[in-house]
Amino acid sequence: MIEKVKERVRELLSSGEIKGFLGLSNKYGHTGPHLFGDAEDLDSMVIGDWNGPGDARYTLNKQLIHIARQYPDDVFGVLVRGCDERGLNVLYTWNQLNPDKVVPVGIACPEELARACECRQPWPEAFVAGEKVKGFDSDSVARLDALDITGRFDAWIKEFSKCIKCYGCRDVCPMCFCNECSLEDNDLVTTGSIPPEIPVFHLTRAIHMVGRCIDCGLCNEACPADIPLRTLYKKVADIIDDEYQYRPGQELYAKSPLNILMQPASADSAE
Amino acid sequence: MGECHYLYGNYATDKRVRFLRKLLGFSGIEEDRLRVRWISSAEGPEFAEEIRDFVKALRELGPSPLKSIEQRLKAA
Repeated sequence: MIEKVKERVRELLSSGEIKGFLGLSNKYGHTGPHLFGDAEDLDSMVIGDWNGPGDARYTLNKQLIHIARQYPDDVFGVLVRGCDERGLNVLYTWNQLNPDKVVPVGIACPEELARACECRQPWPEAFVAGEKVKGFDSDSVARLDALDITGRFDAWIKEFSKCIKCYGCRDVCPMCFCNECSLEDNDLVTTGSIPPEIPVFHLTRAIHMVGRCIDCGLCNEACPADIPLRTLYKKVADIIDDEYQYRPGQELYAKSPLNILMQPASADSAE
Repeated sequence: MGECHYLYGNYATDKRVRFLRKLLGFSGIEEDRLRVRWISSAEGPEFAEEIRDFVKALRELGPSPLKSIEQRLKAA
């Protein structure tokens, strides 16, 4: 798979279509983000497989935002999986990235990874490596839905009480770009003390995932306490999808339904 | 619905509250603990009636599960 990616990147860099390619490299036994600028120097490039498929992914879109801000006139390539493509769509919609300045290089995820992620579309529209596999529905949400309300409460409080308020979920999330984060606003969330307010801290973040979360799962991977945040945010997306038939990133420039004013939720809205 | 003093506020709120009720339900907190009603400042009696009704409903639901969190954390 990596050879096909390198081939494409070499092509883009040599032709001058992109100034650099934001991907992953493995150096001295560590995988990390790397901006490749030289078509001859792609040896260290990897696609983020360490012990298994996709277990060494990074929030490349987020880093691309920072790079693009420094070099607004240059075009950059970026490695994208299915989730990253959804992420780009949302970031374009929110004006955090300019589609004219981004050239995605897509890879399709293997079934093992797609199943682990419960990913609905584990491939981007255009990809140079990998094969399309079927999407998965979320078992983790269904299992919680099947419990009674007390069971769900117990389950979530148990998870949330592991939280050490490291802000890892927020820091790694490619969709979290707000200059002023609600989770650091003293009027909404108590700052400067641990543990966080349970469940306020986590539900506040969950609400902000409406129209943003593209289900990449980096939050789960970042969380040092293994809290199943992704499951919570999947449910958030399900609630919105059920009502408005909208999922973040599926359609370029589609606005989140909660951002569209003057439109009632449905005929039976609160009177 | 179109009578919001801030023009679109109640449309936005309606959507957000409908969403939040479901999120609360998923998190294990009864949806009916969150309610939204549009009441103008001129509708005093309606407001009082709504509050009376809400308090009654809340009493029937009993203490919020959130009250038990501190004990749960200590017991854990």
